[in-house]
Amino acid sequence: MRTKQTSRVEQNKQLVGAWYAALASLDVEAFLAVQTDDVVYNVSGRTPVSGFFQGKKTLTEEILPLVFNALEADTFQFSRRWKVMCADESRVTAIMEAEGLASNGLRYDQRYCQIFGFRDGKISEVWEFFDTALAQVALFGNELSKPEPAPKEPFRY
Amino acid sequence: MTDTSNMSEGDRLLQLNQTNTAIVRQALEDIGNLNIEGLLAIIADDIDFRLMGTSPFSRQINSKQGYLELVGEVGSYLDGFIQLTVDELIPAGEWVIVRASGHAVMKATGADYDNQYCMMWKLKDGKVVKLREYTCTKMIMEYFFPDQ
Repeated sequence: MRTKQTSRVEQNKQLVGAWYAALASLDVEAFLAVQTDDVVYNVSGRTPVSGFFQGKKTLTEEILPLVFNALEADTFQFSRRWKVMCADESRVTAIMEAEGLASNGLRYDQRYCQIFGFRDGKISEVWEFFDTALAQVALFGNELSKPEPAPKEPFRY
Repeated sequence: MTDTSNMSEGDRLLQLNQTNTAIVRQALEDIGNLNIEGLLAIIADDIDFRLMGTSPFSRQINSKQGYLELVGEVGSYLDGFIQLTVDELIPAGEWVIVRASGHAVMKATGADYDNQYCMMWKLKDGKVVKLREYTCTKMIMEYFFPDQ
């Protein structure tokens, strides 16, 4: 029983490692390969990429372009450093640092906390927390004093 | 304190998870109620606290006193303090991860301040020794510092 639990924990950590490695190399195919087709993202806060999103199609056609187009691809590096803080059979919690320039020339050195959920041997849920004020200024060029409307599909707890 | 020397590794982990979960739940309640005495009993003197991000509240603190001062600083803008509802609590040995939704009322405007939180608590011998808090810093700017 313990061995089975341990192997599930290790499998979860490996999936998360592959998710970070794919981000580091901007390998979208590998990034998608470790996630279920109906993967759910809950991105915290008030930014253009905040809220509830479901499915690889939404991820690749809406969310990733919004983020990638706002970054200077030659300098920006996701997963510069990352670390699994804790893991069990159902959840992995990890922190990640990204560094580089946004396409407007501002530095976008971001720190994330991600909580992952799993189904059928893949990542099926991601909760993401990060410095939303930095994202608003560096990625989206928004004044911080300007109210950002709540996401169309609210973050689900 | 319970003698755990005869326990299996699994039972020790289970007990640690139960103990730490109870401490974190109590701390969250104490924060909401501004029960400073309760917080003082739970937090290590040299707590390593970081409110992540670039907001004026974001900082690294290495003392209980510094943590309490930040609580007071945030609280000075609020009518009462932030009531935290636990949405998920993940005990994992020395770490406890909390996803929570907050509700508070701004003193100046009466506006509802409803932010989201991810907190990573590390405990040792029944005390909180590390705390990493992620929250929407954009909302902090919008509600607390609208002129910046």
